[in-house]
Amino acid sequence: MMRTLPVLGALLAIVAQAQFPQTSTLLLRPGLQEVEINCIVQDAQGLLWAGSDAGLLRSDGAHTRVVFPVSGARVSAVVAAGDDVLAAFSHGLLVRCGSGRCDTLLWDEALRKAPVVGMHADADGTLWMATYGAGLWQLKGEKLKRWGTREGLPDEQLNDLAALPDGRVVVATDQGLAICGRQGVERVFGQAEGAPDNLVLAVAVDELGRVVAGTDRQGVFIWDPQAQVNAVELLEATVPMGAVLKVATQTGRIWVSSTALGMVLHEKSAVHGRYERYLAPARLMAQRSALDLFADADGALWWCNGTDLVTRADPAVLWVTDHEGLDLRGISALCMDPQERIWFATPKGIHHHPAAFLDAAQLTRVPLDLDPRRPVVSMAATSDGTVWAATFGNGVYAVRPNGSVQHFTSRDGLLNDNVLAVRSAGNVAWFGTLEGISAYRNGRFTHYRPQGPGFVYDVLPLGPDSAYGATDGNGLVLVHGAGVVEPLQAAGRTYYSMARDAHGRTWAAGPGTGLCAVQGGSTACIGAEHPAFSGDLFGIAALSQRMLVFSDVGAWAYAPSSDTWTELSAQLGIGGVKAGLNTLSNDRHGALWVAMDKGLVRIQDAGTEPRSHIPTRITDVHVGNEAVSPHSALRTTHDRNDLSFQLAAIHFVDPAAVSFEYRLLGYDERSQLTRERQVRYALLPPGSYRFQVRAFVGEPSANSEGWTSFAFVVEAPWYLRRWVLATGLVLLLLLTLLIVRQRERRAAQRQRMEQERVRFQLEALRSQVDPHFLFNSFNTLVALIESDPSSAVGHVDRLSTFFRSILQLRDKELIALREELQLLDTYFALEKERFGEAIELDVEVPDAVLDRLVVPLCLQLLLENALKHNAATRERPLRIGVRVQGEQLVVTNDLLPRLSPPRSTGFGLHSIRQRYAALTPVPMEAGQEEGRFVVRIPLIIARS
Amino acid sequence: MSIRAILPFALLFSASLFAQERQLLAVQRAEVSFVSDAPMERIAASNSKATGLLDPAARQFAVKIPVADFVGFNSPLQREHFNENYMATATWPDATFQGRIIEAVDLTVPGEHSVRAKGAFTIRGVERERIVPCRVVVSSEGVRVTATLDVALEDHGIRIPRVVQQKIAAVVDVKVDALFKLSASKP
Repeated sequence: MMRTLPVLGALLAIVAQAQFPQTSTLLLRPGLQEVEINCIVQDAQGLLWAGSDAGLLRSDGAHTRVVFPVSGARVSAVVAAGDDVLAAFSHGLLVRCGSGRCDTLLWDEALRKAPVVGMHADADGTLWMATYGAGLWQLKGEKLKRWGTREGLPDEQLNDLAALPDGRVVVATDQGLAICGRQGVERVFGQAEGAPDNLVLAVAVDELGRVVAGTDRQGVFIWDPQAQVNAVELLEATVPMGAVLKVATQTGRIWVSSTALGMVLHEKSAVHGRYERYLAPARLMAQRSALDLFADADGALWWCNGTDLVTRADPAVLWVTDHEGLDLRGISALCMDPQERIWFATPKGIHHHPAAFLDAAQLTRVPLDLDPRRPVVSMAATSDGTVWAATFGNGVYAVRPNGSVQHFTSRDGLLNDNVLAVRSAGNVAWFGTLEGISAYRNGRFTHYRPQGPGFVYDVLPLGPDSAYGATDGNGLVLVHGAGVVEPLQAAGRTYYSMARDAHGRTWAAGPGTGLCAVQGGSTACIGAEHPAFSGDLFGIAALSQRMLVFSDVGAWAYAPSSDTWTELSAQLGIGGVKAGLNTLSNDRHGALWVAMDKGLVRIQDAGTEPRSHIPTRITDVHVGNEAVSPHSALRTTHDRNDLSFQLAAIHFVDPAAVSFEYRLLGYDERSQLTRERQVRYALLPPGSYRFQVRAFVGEPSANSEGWTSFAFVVEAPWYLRRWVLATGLVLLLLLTLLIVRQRERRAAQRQRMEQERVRFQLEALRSQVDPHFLFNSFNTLVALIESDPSSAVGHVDRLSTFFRSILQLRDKELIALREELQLLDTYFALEKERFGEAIELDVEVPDAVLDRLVVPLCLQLLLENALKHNAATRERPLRIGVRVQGEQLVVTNDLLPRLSPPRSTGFGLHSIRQRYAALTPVPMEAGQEEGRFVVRIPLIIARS
Repeated sequence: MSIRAILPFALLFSASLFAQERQLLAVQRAEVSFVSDAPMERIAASNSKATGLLDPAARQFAVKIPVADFVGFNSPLQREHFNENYMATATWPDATFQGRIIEAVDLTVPGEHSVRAKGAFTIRGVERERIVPCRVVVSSEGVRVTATLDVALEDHGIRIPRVVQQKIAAVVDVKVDALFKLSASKP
């Protein structure tokens, strides 16, 4: 303990002059679970991946999810490979995660004893793994190569690995560095070769291809493997940093995680070209060294320290809060002098210091006692090295390069003692005062008095002879020559601040004016409605290609090239600041220094184009509970129509401030807003959809850009699919066709039957009016008229009854048996007149069947047939019987064939059979049985 | 030193054991002590029961300290608390440190070296990678190793209740003084 105290003391002394990038800390905690994060990386999509004792985590800063859980082990190394992330676990597992799923690449027992400590994935898919105890591994597809001491590695306990620009890798071992190519170990660089320390714990490669190595005892050294001679450059170590656990490089910067000093940023000074060392504030480290670091796409550096907190440091924004007991939060004016020193005024006086606030001895206070009620409000340095400090109420002080101070008030020729702004152009100092503008040239003041009250808030020299003035109520004025004041347009307006951009354009801004570009005699203003101008304006400044606007509600950057505004407040850690005017100053290297209520900040352009929108990702898509790839289009069935989307926004500056605008095209074109990171749609009807989402901070964007999409299709159920419907339709048509044809066939049959019936009737009629029959009847009648006139009348009666009956019955389909029998009786009586005893009719029909139906005239036809085909004589009378047998009417007659058979059409029997076939399934039968001719006619039951 | 005490480490050196020329050094005597310098109380204890092996050719070593054998506490109750509450010696009886000497020093030639021992330091079942600066004196007597190291209790999962935080230091200073000698009997 005693041993560490001096180190702690030294640490505290340095921390008191902290100058360090703006940092923010994010909590990566999946749910309520506390985790220990020991490695982090960013994927190609911008999402943060962290290896922990709970497994592999993925986060956008606001929402953290365990992508690959593990217990009893931890992730020992992670690396990004294309869109995927590879993670090595301490129990020997190597997985590749991406597109919503994880695959196992390798499972090796050797890695359980010798965990992977560093990885690098080549563009061609080769994976390099540094193990602690099993040497260097190279995995290409399924092929695994291992290199150990036998292959030339100085040691098998590797501590770190980094890739060289030529595709080789450099490993840090306990016995120095080693460079390995595809063929094996190519070069070793240990103490024997000139390394300051054999025990190299960390390694990185800078933009020049030089190896930056962190050692156990000797801090950080830089070794250029391309150089002819082995030479090392040691990073300056005025205070030992202890063991270096990790290093990371950016252009001109080296980040070091050390045990004694915590996180240290080494930045190459633009002034003298050496590395300046900035230490992270002690509160950030909290006794824990960073275990892993990486530089992200935006130029920020991330580190984790074994807790669930990760820290992001943005080197574009460098803060100094206090220095040597000076509170830099109370700066009222600042400027840069030609020697690259910062001059600043606080209530304690005027000071200057080199731009890197590191060395307490370099702080110089100008021996000048200021009246605290008349503060310095603006400072500027002229090219002769004089720094002008303007006070509100007490004129201006000129601090000469030799240290002497000259005081100018209205008695010495200054226009007014209340000065608001001082700016320089070459050797000329320009002052904006409450009465107008003064210019100090070669020891003489020239005055420019605008109209009205003449308050001039800012003055922007165009050169030694002319300048713009920002007035209260008189707009902008152009002053030149010997006191000439030319009002520009927009009189009536008030301007507070002016700045000149990289293209030499002049910009001005005041309350409610927006940002105005001054071109010739006119101004073109934009953004008057923008939130940047909703509060009290504090000042405008140019930074590279952008214009910055500072107000008490925040800070914004405007890019004229793309006409976009970017909110900087979260990045700068300001908001609600109260600051005076004119505390903005550009240095010669393009950086902007701003004095704010939180301290002094240096803002550098990060070099990245300002984004017009926040990158938005759909990280997971679930159908029901099943995860599907968020990167490829999806087809799902109608019963799996419950979709949820996990959203992420890449806005690490302030992840909690992000909101999302989303819509589901094909369902609802209107956008919804949410702060949740999950959107769910249940019971989607079949259709084609496109889910779109974009993130925003503050107000949603009015333009139509920045959407991230996921297309999917919910398929219709099988019975609603097109081909099923088409087939169904065809089947229906066929069925209809079939029915129609069936009906047609039946109609044709009926028609045929009708014809049959007509023919039958015709035949019947023809047979009844058979000339023989008529001839016979008339002969009989003639005979009766002579012999028995009274019975002749009866005969004619019967004849007429018979013909009437035929006429009545022949149109009917069916008639009652009773009627048929009556007709049969009449006919038989007529024939009996002729044949006499030669024919006999024997009808035995029970009353019960008299209502049954038969085809009309069928019995008459059969009787007629019997008389026609048989020879009836008195000796052998023709007996005709009509009986009922079951459901059949049986008509029998004796077979007494004639010697000369009559001409027969055969129509009678055929016709009766046909008609019965159409009416009943029971057929009519006819044939010879036991010497008799038998016809069986079905009896049809009458339907009520 | 009995051969049984060395046996657990023999496996570690299996490669060395079968090599003909190699000789192993074993701990002849060792003194391991710690000091917990807390604002309210200073606790010191020592242990002479450590065992260990050193392979001078491979510069590998392994040391085992039976934690329950620490003596010299301020009271017997304190020792009981140390063993039961904090170190849980019933579950994890030993503290071990095994690894390698980083510097390429020849431990067979008499001389004095300042080296770093890097390896896995395990207390209470929690393993930590440590780099410990050591002084090594090689003489006719044997190889004498002296070292000091800080042990942060939190690193090894040792939780100190609030009520005794003023009495137990969060970081304990450990001193080691061990003499390794050529082992009399080769296994």
